[in-house]
Amino acid sequence: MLKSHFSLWVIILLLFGHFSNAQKNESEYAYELDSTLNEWKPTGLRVGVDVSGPIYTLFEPTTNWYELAADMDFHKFFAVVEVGRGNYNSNVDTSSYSSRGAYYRVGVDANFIARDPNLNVFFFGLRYAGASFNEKLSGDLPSSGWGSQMLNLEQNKSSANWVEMNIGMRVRVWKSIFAGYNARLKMLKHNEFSEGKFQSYYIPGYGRAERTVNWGFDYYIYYRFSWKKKPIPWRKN
Amino acid sequence: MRIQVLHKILLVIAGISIIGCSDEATCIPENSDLLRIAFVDGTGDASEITFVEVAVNGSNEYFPVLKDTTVTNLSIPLDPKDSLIILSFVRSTATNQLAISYKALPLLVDPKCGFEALFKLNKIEQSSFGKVEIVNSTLNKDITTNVKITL
Repeated sequence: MLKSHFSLWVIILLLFGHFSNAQKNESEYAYELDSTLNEWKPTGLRVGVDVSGPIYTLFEPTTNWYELAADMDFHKFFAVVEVGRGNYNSNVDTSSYSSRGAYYRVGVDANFIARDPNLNVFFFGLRYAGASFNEKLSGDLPSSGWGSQMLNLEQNKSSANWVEMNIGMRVRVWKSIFAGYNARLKMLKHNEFSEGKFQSYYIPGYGRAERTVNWGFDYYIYYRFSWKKKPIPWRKN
Repeated sequence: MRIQVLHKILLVIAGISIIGCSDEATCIPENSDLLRIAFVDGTGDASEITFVEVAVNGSNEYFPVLKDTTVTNLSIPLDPKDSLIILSFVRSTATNQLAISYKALPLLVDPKCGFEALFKLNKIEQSSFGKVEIVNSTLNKDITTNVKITL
């Protein structure tokens, strides 16, 4: 499974490399840029909703999440904030487990096509993320010498922090509406089960807690609130 | 237009990858609740020892696990409800006691597989043997010795 994750990233990076090289060939474009415009001043706020959570729940009813995302441009970079809520509920035979909580991610995206006149984005980004969540479990804990033990435990205010490498796109689909996705490679930095009653199983926003490396995929629909025209150079022809 | 095409290509790749990477629980336990004790001589080689009885004395229970047996190593189940195990080793010539504190942390292996406990030895609380050391604090299927007793 890990191998296929790496394959995905290799393919994405190869495509990314090919595409970014194509962007550098500016001789075919006759760009002009008004040098009086300050490219570093933000020109808009893009606010989006993650639609992959509700879709994923249709195939995997144990898991659901809802997420809002926002980014603001600073020349070729974006400051990004993502907040969400995630739930995991399993109920198999006599055992059950649930995890509910909220998570956030903050970070920066570097846009490799910052001069795209449609404000499309093809980015590589870094995130720092955190989650706070409550867990419950109940069921039989087998023991080879002492008989099985009935567990009925609750653990509140567990927390986790992780870092992510993201790659993704935002594509203008109509007027100020954009669609796009993030492919995420998540690396768990810290997981603390505050009450120490049992080991966490599911971290909202991250996934399976015992994995030090996870990956994720989110698909967003965005609306861009523009308050200023972005100083994009235009084609002469 | 190129970015729209790339967007679609990457979306298809991601979709195929997600479908191909769905998790299948194997339900093969990695952790163990058996405390593995090895008896060695002064040179570190396995040493046979004959017991009249080996008994486990938890907080609330006492039961013999071995009677009239000669062994070089022992596997003793730890109680996930407890945090201390007291073992009595009765020989024809002497009786030794060994107390080890530990922590049991339940974990969900997978919803389809159920729960297991992750045991971690804390320290030797009391021993009447000459030399006792914890060589592996985590109880795991692949670990053959957790505690080494030098006779």
